Amino acid sequence: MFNYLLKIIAQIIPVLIIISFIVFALVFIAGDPVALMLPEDASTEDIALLRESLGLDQPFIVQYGNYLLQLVQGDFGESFRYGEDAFKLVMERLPASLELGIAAIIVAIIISVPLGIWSATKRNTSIDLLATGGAVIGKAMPNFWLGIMLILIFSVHLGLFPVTGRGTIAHLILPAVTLGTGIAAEMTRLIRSNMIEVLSQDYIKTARSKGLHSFKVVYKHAFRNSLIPVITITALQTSTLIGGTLITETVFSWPGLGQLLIQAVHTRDMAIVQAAVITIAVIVILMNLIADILYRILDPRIKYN
Amino acid sequence: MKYLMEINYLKTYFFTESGVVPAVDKVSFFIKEGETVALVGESGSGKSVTSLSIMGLIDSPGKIVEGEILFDGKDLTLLSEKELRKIRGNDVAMIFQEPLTSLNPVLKIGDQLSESIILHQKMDKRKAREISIHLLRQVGIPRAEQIMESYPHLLSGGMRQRVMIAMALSCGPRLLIADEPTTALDATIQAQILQLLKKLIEETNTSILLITHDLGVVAEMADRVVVMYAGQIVEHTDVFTLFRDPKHPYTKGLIESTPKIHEEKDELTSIAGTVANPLNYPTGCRFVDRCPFALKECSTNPPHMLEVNKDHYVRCWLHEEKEDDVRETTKTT
Amino acid sequence: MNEEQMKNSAVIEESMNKTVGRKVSKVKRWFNLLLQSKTGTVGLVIVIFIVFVAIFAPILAPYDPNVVNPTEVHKPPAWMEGGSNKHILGTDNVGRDILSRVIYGSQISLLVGITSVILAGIIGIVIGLLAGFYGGIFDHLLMRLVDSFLAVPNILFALVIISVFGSGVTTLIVVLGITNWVVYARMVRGESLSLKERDFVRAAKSMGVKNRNIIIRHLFPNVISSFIVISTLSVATTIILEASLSFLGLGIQPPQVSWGTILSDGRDYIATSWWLATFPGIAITITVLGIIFLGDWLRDILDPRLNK
Repeated sequence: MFNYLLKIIAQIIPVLIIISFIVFALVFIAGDPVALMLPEDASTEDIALLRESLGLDQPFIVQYGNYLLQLVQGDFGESFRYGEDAFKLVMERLPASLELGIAAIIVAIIISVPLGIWSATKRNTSIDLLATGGAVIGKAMPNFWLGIMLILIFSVHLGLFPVTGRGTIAHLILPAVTLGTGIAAEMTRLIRSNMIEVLSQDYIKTARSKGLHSFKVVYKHAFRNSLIPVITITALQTSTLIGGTLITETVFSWPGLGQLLIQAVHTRDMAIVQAAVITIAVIVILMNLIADILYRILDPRIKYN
Repeated sequence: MKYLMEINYLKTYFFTESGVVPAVDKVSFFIKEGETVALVGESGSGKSVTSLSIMGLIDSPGKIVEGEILFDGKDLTLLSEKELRKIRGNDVAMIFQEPLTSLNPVLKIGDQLSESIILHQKMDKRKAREISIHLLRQVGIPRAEQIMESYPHLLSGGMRQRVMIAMALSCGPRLLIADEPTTALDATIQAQILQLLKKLIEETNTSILLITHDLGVVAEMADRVVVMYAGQIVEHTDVFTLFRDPKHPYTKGLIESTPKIHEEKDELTSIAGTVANPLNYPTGCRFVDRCPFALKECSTNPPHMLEVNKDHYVRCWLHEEKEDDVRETTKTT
Repeated sequence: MNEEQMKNSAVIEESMNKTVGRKVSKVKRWFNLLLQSKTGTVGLVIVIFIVFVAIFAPILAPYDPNVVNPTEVHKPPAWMEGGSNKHILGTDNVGRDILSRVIYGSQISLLVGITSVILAGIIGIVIGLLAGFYGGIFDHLLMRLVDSFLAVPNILFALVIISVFGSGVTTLIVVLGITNWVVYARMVRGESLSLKERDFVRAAKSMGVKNRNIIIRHLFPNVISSFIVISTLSVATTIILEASLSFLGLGIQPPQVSWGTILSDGRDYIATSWWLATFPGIAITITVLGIIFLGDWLRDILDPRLNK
């Protein structure tokens, strides 16, 4: 267990260093933030003074070193737009995004698990065709368009849900469905093919020869086996999920990290962009780690080594 | 004596995209109480499909198109899925070829073993567990309590097959279908498992349908032998007659090409040629292309099942002809 | 033609160019395979149609996509009350013809989708081949870089670059190309790692063929089919990514027309003029669907793992 954790950490740290380096280098190429921070009629001395106080007159590698040091202390710099600590701003918005993301995963699981299993057990029937066809269309539809169409149908015409904002469950449903459907499409496909493979295994024949009900064969003997890849699949969707969150938040004016980030990109508020990218990378890495650990718990054949 | 199981004119066909495969074609045989019947044939001869037909586990695109499977007087082909489930694992149990893959890798041995006891004997978990431990001891597994909590991957192939046997016998079945139970095992383990099976059925008077391609196993275990080729029964008699006086050219070939038991090799390579394409069987005898004694009518007319001696059945034109005719063709080939 | 003539012409054709002859029959075989797959056929038809629309947009579009017409604002599609055949899919808030805008939108989608994938492919294949063939520290570094890219969602990475360099067609192509290259690098690296151990490469090595020639002659042709499969599907995701960025106002800028920007304009009028946001979305969905179908079919016939 201890060795396993050590190995994981040895993999994560270089990844985080590379990401921070790329982001820092990009921002460095983008040029001085000073011009944006001072009024247009500022004197050259003022600019030079500010540059010096921010350490911007030092060579690139020194600046990056300082930046890394600050990162380790949780200091991502200050947003010039809000005049606040960028990391604090990101953390303030994170709960809303997590809420949306978790709700979307729940929606995706509710749709894809039964549908994937069902279509696998009823292979080549009309149900299967409908499920696989739906999965392809779900994959082809842009997320934000689906969101707009849902607003059109359920908010504008039927008046069932509020168009935008956050607060109640009613606010959450449309964005969660929008985001969840896209992930469900990919998950349904993968669960189906996994289930098909598991159902052809010998131990399924054994279970059936015991006289078990086919429902029990599927959920006790087959699903648990196909659950292992499903968990990995779900975790690997984290990246897609976060990408989708950024856009879905914009469509529904959801006050999360995505909205903050996109505004920051528009206004070139680089401290927030940097803080958001690194936070998201950490989340993705953590999710992959959790998936890996769950995988080991669920599959008795794998031990820490 | 009363028949425990009687299969009459069973046809199980597979309706595939490329055509209809008559995997089991007009198969009839019977099993008496306490008797071990061996179903012998190469892979693809239809022996496994016959066993799955008995269990009612034929999946689409396969289908039982005709015939009856009488178990204790009841026709299993007419039963509903629900009624079949009551028989499966209870009155009729099955052991499969691959002990390595036939146990669920993510469930504990104890869980899998007590499953059918809970289901069929309507027992609570604790009681089922006690019986399971007892069963494991019966099949010669040491440290039974510990094994109950283990996952299959920690057990050797022989141990797993013992667990499979314990599982199959857990509800005291009247018929045990053993589909190549020792094929995947080492020769020494093979002998142990066969001894174990023999001991257990003698104690309980269970009938066995033993599916195998290994005549060594047949000689060791069986009372009667049914030889299948390309979906059909080609010979059917008691085990002594079969080895002493085989009638069908295919059976002869099988016996000649089989090494004795306890030898490593069990390949059946010395019969020339391969099994005909099941999508396009010859119109006459299905063995015609590989048969060294083939007559003219063999390629045009399908042979019938003949009773050459008492309780000795053969599907072959050679035995429908007069003795001198047979000799003549034997010379020419 | 009698038999002898046929023989002669066949011989001539063969002697003229053996490989071309083989390729023709291969294309024929693929075409037959394509017709066997319903979805593959549908995919190809859709893709040909979209390419046709994009190329002939100036002829097909009834109006200039950017011409505003204050007298014809918020016209609904032709089949609705108040609609007219002058604007089949209606007009937007400043009277621009939606059909014309959707037709022109296909140009940007295909341009950005295809060129950025080619760019990503070139970067990825070169780096992947080198890393796979030479291994060592360079390979190690590449794998960590791949991990890093995979930890950051594509769109997020694109956003970071756009925040630095601004938006526009060229930037977008470069951005999406840089975002996607790791996928190819990883795939090509894996394949060349296994190819390196195969007999024909070992034989070439033992005969003293230069490394550069081994990479170009033996490794490169063998990774091409996997590249085609992955890149086709990747065009589909890139088209969605482009539309997403344009929707956020960070991709294509006016006067160029992207399906994403039409959608973004239409979103504000969703309550009154549903057609503004609906039709570009349908266009994206159909295009992407066609490419996915085509890509799945290509995978079925080209994937060496399936052919084995």
